[in-house]
Amino acid sequence: MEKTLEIKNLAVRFRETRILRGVNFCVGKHESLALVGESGSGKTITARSVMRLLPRNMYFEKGEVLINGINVTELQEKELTEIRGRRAGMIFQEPSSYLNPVFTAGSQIAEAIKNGGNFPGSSPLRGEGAGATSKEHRIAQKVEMVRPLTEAQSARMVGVKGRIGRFQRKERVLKMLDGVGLKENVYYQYPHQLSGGMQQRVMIAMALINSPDLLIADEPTTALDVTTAYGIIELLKEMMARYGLSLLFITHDISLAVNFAGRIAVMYAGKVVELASAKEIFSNPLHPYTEKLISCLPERYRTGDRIQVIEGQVPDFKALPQGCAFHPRCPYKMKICLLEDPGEMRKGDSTVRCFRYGNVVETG
Amino acid sequence: METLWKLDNLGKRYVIRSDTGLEEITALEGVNLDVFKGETFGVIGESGSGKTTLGKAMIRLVEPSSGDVYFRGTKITDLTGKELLKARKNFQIVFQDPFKSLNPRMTVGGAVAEGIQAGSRQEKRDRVKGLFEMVGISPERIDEFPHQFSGGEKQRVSIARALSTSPAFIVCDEPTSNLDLSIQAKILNLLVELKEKMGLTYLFISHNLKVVEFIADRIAVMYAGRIVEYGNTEKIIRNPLHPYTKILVEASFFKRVDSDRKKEEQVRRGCGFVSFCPHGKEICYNEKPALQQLEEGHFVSCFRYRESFSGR
Repeated sequence: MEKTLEIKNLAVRFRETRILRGVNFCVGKHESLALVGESGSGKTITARSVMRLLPRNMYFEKGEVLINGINVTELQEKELTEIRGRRAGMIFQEPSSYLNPVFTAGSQIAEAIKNGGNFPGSSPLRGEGAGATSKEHRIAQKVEMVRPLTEAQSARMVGVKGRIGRFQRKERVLKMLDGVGLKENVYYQYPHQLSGGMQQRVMIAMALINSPDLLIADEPTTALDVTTAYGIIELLKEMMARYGLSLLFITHDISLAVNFAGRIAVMYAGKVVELASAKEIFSNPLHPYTEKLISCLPERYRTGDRIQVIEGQVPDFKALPQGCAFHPRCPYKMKICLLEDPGEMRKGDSTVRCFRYGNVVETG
Repeated sequence: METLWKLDNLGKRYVIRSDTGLEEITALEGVNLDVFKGETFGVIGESGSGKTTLGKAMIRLVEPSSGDVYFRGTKITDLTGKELLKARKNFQIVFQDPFKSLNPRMTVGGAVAEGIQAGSRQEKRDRVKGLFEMVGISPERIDEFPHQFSGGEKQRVSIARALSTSPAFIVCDEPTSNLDLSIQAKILNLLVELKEKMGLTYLFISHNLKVVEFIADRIAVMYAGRIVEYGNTEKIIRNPLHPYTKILVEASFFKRVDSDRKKEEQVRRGCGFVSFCPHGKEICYNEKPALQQLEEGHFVSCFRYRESFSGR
């Protein structure tokens, strides 16, 4: 399987505290992977690491984040502009706080069009050096921008030769707006004139206008109504199919993840504790935390019943328990769980970190 | 069954300033409803459908512009001053955002103690401690401030505050929509427990059908300020009659939604849903459908529910 995104043993620190403690997963081409967990489990930090959007006081300790084979943790700030937007786009939970209230939706989408609107393959960066400065060359080599255009990409190209003009830019934005199910007049509207669902669609248009390979969606439907959320989910599915996107989808709602994603990674205290296909995880959860997350869903109970809850709270990163981080809340805990941290174990097609499935101890 | 609340043609209009002068917005229109003692009555609908206005108008946190509200036979809409204050002890509200509904400069114990009138300082303190224990927070924490609490814990404090006047009825305005699913489960359990222990009645407002299905005995579905369907929870979810309810149920359970919901301007005169409705006819544009009873305890407000039903 071709991998669009691969995260290898990623660790992120905040001052002395480790927030991510060895995250491993990959998102294949055209695949959707959902990252599920409670608040404070490290989902958003993982997503932000991919875009290198970490707060200033957080830094990479070790590990790699590879987008199409390029390690983003090693890139310079300038080189990152080739990644952000082009290779990976991101949408966020509250669209209203990510749109600028004093610019129209159209101008904000147009602003995102990179490098004067050149598509991969058409920029002087990618030629045999025609007009490119040595610096640009260096970036081009490092980032390996040369790749053949897909048919879908060429179809979306306007003004291949050099920079595109204002009108072509606008044309492209309008096409994109139509693609995300918005009317033309949204181009001239300000964010406050748009509903939450429409704002999220504008965000999606903005993230996809440079035709990235990977879209990261950080709780894109949490702030929306059920029916609007449904529309956004349908739109994301459609966009995946149309543009051949890979999707990293972050949510705390495991039932949403099951209905939407191909595979699910469950995070707890800065680690992926279980990774399996959506069907498998829902029908046959391996890790006790996954099992508990599923049992929290109210639709599994009848009126008047008590919901089975996860006792205790998400541990503070500053004071993680020794051994398996989940053991204080775990109904199946054994002696070894208090002492050692479980490593990754494979069971069928799933990966799980739990001593119930073997005796692999985490090292390092 | 004892009727606790009776709403008679309740309505609320807001006047707002717009580019063209003053404009009237109907947030709530012609709501007729009975809430029985000891039940959990769910209200569901999207943002702007008037759910919260309904909850607030019932307990007169917003002044209704038309219609009457009766609580245990007393006309709440006529009460003023001290009488209203006295009546208000019986009904409380828990708000959606626990971060905004607690005063950051007041200890949580102080916030809960505000509702308790009788007794010495020590007696009040003991009562607050008792309330904290009831909602599952360590009584030693009553002198802490809201920022020392997590979202779920703050919501517990809000619930303790609502319980401080020993009410008979609590409006729960989306109490779990800002919380994680695992915390939501705990808060829902707490609400169910308190209800059984203290014989409370809830009006539970939410946009999440799965939560309402779990907690409510009966549901009202709201759209554009009107109740479009109401009745027994199970009947409504298994057999939704109004086209909007149908879309809502399908979207909640990830079935295919068959209606194209691109926003058109809302129709003033007719049924508020008609521009999205797959079954709209001429009559829907000109007249407002009344609530009619179809089976025991199942009401719908739609001219064309038969078509909607057979289309399933």
